[in-house]
Amino acid sequence: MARDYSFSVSSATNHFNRPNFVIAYATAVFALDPKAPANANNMAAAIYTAGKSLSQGKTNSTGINSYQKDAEAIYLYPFPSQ
Amino acid sequence: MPTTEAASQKIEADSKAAEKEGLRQFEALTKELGLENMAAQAGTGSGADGLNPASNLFPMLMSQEPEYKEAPVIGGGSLSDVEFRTPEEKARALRAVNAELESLPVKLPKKEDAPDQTAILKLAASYNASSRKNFRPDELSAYTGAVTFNPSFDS
Repeated sequence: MARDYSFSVSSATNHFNRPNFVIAYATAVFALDPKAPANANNMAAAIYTAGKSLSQGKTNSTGINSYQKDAEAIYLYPFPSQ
Repeated sequence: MPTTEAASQKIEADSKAAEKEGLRQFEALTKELGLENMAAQAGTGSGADGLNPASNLFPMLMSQEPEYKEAPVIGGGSLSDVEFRTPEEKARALRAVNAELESLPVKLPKKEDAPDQTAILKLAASYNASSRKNFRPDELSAYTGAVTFNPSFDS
């Protein structure tokens, strides 16, 4: 099921400008199968892309940094199968 | 008829005036371009014996075009450093670049910095909770309306 939603998550990340929805969707699909690299990568991309969108209106300097760090941590995530 | 004759004379006079005006403009233009001789020639002739300005202006302008001269190539013109660097110099330059790169901190991720599955799931849960709190139902409706397939979120 997680595999079926992979494309949907990535396309929503790329083409759908609803950051909160995209993060919720990507994290939910990742939780369905945390061993799949595609889901983790999709989640990282969603967090970074949506985070960029969410932090645009904010004035504090941290802004995108927290999203960026979390996305980076997810990219580093070693998969149990590897 | 006198009226027609007068009209034809008027037309002839107008055409002569127009011709003179054209000639005057042409002379002004050729003076501006520095072609006084041509303007004089054109001014002397008229009709079939005169110099046709339009047919001669272009070749004269072309004859005044400066010839294209290729710039002299200095130093062989290639990026090959065969002529400029000896093998020793090349090796020295390579060593300098490598030394500079090796002095920079390694940016590749370390294995021990990578989070484990529990931490990632915790991160995902926290993001999911905060995002679900913030996103409005109409966002979900917009998404289901935008996609061509029908995702079911209740299974």
